[in-house]
Amino acid sequence: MSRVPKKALALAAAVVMLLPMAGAHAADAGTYEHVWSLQTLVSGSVGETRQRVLSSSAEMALEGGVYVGSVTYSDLLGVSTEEGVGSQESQISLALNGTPLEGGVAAGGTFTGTARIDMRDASGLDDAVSDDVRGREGRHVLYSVSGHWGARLDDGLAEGEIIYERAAVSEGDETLAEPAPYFNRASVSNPDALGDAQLFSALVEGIAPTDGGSSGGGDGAGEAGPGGADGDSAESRGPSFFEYVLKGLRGEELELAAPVPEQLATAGRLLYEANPGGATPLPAGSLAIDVHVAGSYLDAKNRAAGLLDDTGPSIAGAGDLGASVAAARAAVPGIPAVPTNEDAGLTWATRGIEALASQADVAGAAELAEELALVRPDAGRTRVLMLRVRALAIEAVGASESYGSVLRGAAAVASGVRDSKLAEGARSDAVLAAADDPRSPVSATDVRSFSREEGLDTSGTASFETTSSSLLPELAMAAAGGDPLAYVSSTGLVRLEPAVWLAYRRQDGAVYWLAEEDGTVALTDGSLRGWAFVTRRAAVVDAERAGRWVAVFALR
Amino acid sequence: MRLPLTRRAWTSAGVAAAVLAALLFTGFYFYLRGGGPVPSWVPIRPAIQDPLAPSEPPEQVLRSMRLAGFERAVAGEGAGFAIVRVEVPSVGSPADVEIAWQTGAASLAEAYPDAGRYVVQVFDPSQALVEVRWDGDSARDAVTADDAGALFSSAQFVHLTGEVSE
Repeated sequence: MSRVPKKALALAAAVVMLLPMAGAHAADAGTYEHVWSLQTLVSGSVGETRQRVLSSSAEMALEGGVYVGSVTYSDLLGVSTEEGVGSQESQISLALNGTPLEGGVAAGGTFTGTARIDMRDASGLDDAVSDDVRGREGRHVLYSVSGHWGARLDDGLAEGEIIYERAAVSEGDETLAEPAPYFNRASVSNPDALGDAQLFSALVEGIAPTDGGSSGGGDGAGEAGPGGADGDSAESRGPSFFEYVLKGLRGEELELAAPVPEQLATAGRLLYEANPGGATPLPAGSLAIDVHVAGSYLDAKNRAAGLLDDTGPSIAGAGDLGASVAAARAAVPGIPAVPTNEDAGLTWATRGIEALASQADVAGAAELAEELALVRPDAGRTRVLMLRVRALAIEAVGASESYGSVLRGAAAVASGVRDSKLAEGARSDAVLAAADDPRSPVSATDVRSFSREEGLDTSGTASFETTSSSLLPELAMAAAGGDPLAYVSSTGLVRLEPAVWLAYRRQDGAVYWLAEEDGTVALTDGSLRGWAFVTRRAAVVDAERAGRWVAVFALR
Repeated sequence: MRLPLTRRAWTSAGVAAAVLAALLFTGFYFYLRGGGPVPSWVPIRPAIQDPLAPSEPPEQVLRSMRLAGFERAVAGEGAGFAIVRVEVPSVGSPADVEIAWQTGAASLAEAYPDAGRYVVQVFDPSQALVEVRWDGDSARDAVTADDAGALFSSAQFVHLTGEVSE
């Protein structure tokens, strides 16, 4: 590191200290600040509230290029209105996952967790927030919550926002979605919207100020690589010759050619880095989707090769693969449902253990049976689903014969991939755009340069009953339950609420909906329509670089 | 006499040139390994591929898996074997697990026609499920004959343990 005059260091330190105070973030480092919407809405002539924070913690670490964090919080909220005084105790526990953004000066991702709310009667506001009230009988509800988070990073300190987007209560086999705005701050300017974010602040473990290499530190995000102190992002400058050599010496993986949304990148990395017991290790140089190569780029290449269209794969010699898949699934003997008076988790674990008894010669069977024997009663819904899948996989291995063949068709597909060539023109341009290649023409990347399709324009207001529409924005908004489409960008949490979606068609036929005339993002079909599985979703893309996916949303 | 001096100078120059060449080669090797792009005429596999270039075998396998509807997969080649790790989007039936390993086997057989062994690892989004291994010839014969029974009976299965995410 070069020597810096002491005066400059002192000035820089003062600026760093002032930055957190200048912004809207008021949470102390390592804490989460929760303001209930009731605290805003029940005030003045309506009533009064009092809050007492019992515990609050926020932790975050950067591990292998992925942010992992946790938030735990508990408080008592007393609410006094004309109708009486009530006490609410909350216990919130969240797990955060995310990735670096904008060269490492920001981060964002998704979270899941639980929120337990206990409601009790109280004699007054003092009583409502006292320790005594916690021992009384009351009513409690356990929510499964999820949403997005975003944070700015400054010298290892993450100051972030959390927005709750889903809050579900499970009752038996049914999951009821409750309004997530209850968990967000009241939005005074738009009271019918999702609400405003809650705040947190956490010191990030795993960030060394000097990890930026030539950046000389201070950007607080060593994993970002050459994110320079002058504000250039890694994406625009690119590594130098010596930075490539350093990466090679360290044995680091190749950078992804085109960035993918955080949720896809995290899922791709989890699969790539998994090291399950009994598995053959992946060889060095293995290629992983959404880690080393974007899935959308692979799809664009398949389309350019004439192997894929809007309805799915189209390959000579593959036959009716859909029918083969259906026949195989139909050939499976009926699987008895779990009786209502039995513990579902234990039932699936027992079925798995019984099936493994006849697979003693299969490697890993004994270890798996021991693992299943440790399953306890009252497993959560997610755990029960995992145990069910495990039992189905055990059954597949122990089947007396194959359920059916898709080999010929799958081989025809694979030989088509190997032998086909990319058509020149618009479809190849789309491949370059999907790879975010500098050679991609504006006609394939800038949505506003595409042809207008005014007949496909649609308003930004979705109806919950919009099930008959085939227009992508309406399908996406309906899937979001009427809430704005929310995602994390380098500038923080973004909620898409355009008044109108303007449709454009690219030369290769793909349709994009621009979020208003001056919108910076557009919506396009990001579905994966395979011959065995279909995943329907909408992709938010950069309006000027259409190959850059920013977020994805599942469709029903 | 200048002759011995010239020979020494030539020897020194030769050694210096050899050292310089070794340094350049080593630097270039690590540059490639670190992902540095190279022109297509360089007879070494480019670290960053031209998006329009024909797909190498790992990318062929991944494209084949995407056409089947598998959103995530990892493909590669080791000493004498080719492997694909595939995530099944939703396991609703034991047949989904078999469809995954059949698709993997067929894709590997077409992309790596000379491999001695094939390995398919089947995951769902939350956990590793099963690894299936074949002798190369047995798998290729079964794929060519569209004989799922032969593929099943010639397979070596391994139950995997471990969760992908919490």
